[in-house]
Amino acid sequence: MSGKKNFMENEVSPKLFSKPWLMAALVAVLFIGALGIRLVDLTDLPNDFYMVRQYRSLLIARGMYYAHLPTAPELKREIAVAQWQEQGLIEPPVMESLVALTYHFIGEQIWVGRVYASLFWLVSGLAIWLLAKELSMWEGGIIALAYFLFLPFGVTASRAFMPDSLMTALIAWSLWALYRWETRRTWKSAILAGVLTGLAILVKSVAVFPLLGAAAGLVLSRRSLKRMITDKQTWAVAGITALPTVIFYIYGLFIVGTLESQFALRFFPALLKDPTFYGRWLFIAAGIVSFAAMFLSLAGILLFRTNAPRFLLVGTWFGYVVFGFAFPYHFITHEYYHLPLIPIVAIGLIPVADLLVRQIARQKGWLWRAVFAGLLLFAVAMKMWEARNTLVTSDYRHEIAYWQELGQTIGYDKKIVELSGDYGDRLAYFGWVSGLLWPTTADVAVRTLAGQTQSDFASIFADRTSGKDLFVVTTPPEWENQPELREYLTANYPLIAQGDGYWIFNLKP
Amino acid sequence: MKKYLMRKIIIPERPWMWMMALVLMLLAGFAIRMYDLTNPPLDFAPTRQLFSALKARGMYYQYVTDVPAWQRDAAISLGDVGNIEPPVLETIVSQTYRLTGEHLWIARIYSSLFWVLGGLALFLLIREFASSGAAIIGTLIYLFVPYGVIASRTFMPDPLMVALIVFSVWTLFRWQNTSKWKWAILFGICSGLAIFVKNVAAFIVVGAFVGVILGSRGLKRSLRDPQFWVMVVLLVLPVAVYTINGIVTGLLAGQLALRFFPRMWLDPAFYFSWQNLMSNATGFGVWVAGIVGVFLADKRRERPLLLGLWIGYIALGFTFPYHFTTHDYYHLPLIPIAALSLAPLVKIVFERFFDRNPGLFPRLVLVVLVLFGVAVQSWYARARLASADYRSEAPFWAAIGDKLEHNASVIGLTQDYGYRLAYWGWLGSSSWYTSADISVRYLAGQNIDFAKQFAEDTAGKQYFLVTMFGEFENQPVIKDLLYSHYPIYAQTDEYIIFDLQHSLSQP
Repeated sequence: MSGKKNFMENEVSPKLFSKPWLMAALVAVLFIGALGIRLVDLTDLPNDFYMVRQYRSLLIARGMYYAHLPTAPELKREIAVAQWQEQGLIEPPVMESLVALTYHFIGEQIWVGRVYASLFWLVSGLAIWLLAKELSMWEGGIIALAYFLFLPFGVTASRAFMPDSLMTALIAWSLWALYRWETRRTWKSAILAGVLTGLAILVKSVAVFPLLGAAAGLVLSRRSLKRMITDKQTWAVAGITALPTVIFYIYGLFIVGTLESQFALRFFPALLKDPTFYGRWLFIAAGIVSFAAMFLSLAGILLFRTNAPRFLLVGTWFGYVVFGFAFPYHFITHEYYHLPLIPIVAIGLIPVADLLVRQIARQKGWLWRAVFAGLLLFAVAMKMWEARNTLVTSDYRHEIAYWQELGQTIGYDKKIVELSGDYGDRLAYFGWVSGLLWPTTADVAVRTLAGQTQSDFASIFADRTSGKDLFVVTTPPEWENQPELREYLTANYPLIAQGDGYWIFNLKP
Repeated sequence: MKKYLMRKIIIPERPWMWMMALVLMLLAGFAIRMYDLTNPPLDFAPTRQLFSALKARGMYYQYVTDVPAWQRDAAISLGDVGNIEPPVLETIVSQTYRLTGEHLWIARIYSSLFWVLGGLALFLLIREFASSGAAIIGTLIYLFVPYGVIASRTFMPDPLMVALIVFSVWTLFRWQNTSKWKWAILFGICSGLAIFVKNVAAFIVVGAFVGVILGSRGLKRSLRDPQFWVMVVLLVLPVAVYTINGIVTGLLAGQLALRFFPRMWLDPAFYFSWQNLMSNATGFGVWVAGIVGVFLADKRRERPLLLGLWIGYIALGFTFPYHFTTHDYYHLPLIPIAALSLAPLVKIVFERFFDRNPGLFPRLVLVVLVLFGVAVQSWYARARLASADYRSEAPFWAAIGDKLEHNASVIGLTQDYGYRLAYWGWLGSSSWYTSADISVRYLAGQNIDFAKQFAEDTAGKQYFLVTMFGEFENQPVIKDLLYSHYPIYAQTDEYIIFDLQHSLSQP
């Protein structure tokens, strides 16, 4: 028994840094570094990471901005607002509204969304560290924090103008709030948990998977059915969580009516029977969070001292797996669908890191602490370098002039059909020209996967080009991949302009 | 507390369970290395592998009597590719050819076997070093880290060298703990052999030895210990004999050229590249956790050995900075070093795990988790092995060899310094500089006058063979020189042969 007693006593005794400011300084260095690396190549175009999704947000934000910009030329305002309205409703445009609002103070800058996304991610790092503090593992939490802030994929993804950074931030804060509620059981903490969880799901509805799993895990950790059902706070948290999303869905489905399309082409149960789906899932997930971290994080679940954090984390993992089953196609084609895994893995690392830090804290003398801090900063520097190399690999700034010229060549008043590699987003954003999209081979493939049959070429062509002035091709690979379209256009319509990577056919010769 | 942990917390020691786990690990480790066995060895450091393949074939053909004379002569002549290290693996393989016939995959089996046997030594080492659980994890990392799987089945001395390093470290640790003559002599033999197989092993084994002597045994005590001197003599003897013989006979001439580039130490990119290759070998998390493990290790019993290993590895990097950042297999010894260094950390994690999870179910979860990890790593390795099929290479080079009738005088811009042509085409050639060759010469302060060098290198040659079109494009001076002055003797999408004997005009 004495051995056991000693073991438990050791859990609370040592401190890594005798002076609190040293820990604060280390954390500050991490946050400053994390912000710094995200600001590298700040003004480059967002083509490095899921540009379709980022340009969509840019178009929405610009439309919102121009709608209330009295100094804007009328034509530009009309186009900007129309391009905003053309973007379907997927989730509430929270980030876009924030960015549009900022444009009113500093003018339209392509990097504003990047700065906000980065800041949201950084703030969610704070949530992870605070959760470690709630677990009495705050010194170990510094390693989890460093992992969360400097994971190279996380660096790239967290500066993208997409709702995912904010969603991930709110997931981290929700997990903190849910755990805090479970340990305190006060109405104040319950409401905070409900509000944050509700906001996370509102920002992007797929946050429901890990968060529902986490909440269910926490409730189950009480191990009393009666307590689960009769607990008023639990119902309150559920109600507060559900409310914003329910309102948004009522608005989107029944009032605006555009949200319905978002449910199409999402669920592909056939993939679930394909063993390669699971292999790809695993490879993508491990590639993002690193296999070693994933493994340690899973092992970490069993190193927590109490059931609540174990069940919380098992719940989030379960939610993540269900998320993958619900969106199998997106899970293996859209890496950013795995972003919620980063805070989950980071939290799982906390007990492992805590164990390590405690061992170091037990050593006498300052050398050990210095070595620990040095090693941590060295690892961070290496990851920053890796992320920096990825960010500066390409420079897309030269594209602006290309798309602007193409927009002028086409003409802002023309009605066009587009075969584009980016859903026409760059032409719309820089060239101020939008059009009806001609399906790419990838579009056709995903529809085939969903069991949809394709109409014959002639009827699709007639349908899409009806009333249009021009057919604009801006993607050479697709131009090669669609010989039927290429031959038909070339044979029947005059090529009125051709340049580096584009072809323009006159549909009304 | 230690007794309490041993009695109550850690899984009760059941030797048969650990034995079974060890056997299964080693068998699985060997099995994954047998995947795609017959694919030509071009997936990893092909130049180095073909070097050994040519050498082994040359040795084998000295005994072969039932082949045409030209082929026997060519094999022996092409096998004379120079000396880098003593041809230990090549000799073993060539002797096996005498029983089985020539099969390139035989070397793959030997290398895999050596590596897996190294796993046995590593398991025994970590078990004594930390715990059985840590030994399982360390050995699994050593056997299944994807880079290790691919690199350890190559026709190169490195897998054998690493295995011998592991045996050396194990016997050294045993000697440290027991002071027995048996372990002293075994360390001397193993470390001597490791350095003999590939002399860069000296950095690691000498590092470990010095670490133990200075940090654990004490220098004064060691200098008075006859065991110490026997170990030193056995460690040095084989490589000393080989090196002296090499210097006297001139076999090792040129081996020290273009190796030492201290200028690179000042370049931050050197350190980042080094780090990248470390992460490539073991994964970033593993080697970082390994360094952490050094500081968690017991101050006198474990840490000196680990520090010695790491310092040896770092010294190796500083001595061969260019090779360290361009030849990823220079980092192979890192795999067992990291796996061993992790042991103190894994031991602590397991102690905590078993403390908090005394039931059977969590242990089963842990086992499943570990098996899952092994399965994923194996899948990675398998996917990389399956990603390329080189079986079409042999007929391609054989066709070029036939076209040039196996006796033409050829200079070429071809893969692996002409070794593919030599091995499958049975035709020797001298090789024109690649961009990498030019870079390394610039780095060494040498300048190349291309026109002059071209004139010198092509003097007396019949053909200039181009199969590396990327390289050809990168050297416009040579490309222009060839096209404007020499007729094309033969050309396909995959090669161009210029006729150097019938020039169109004077270059």
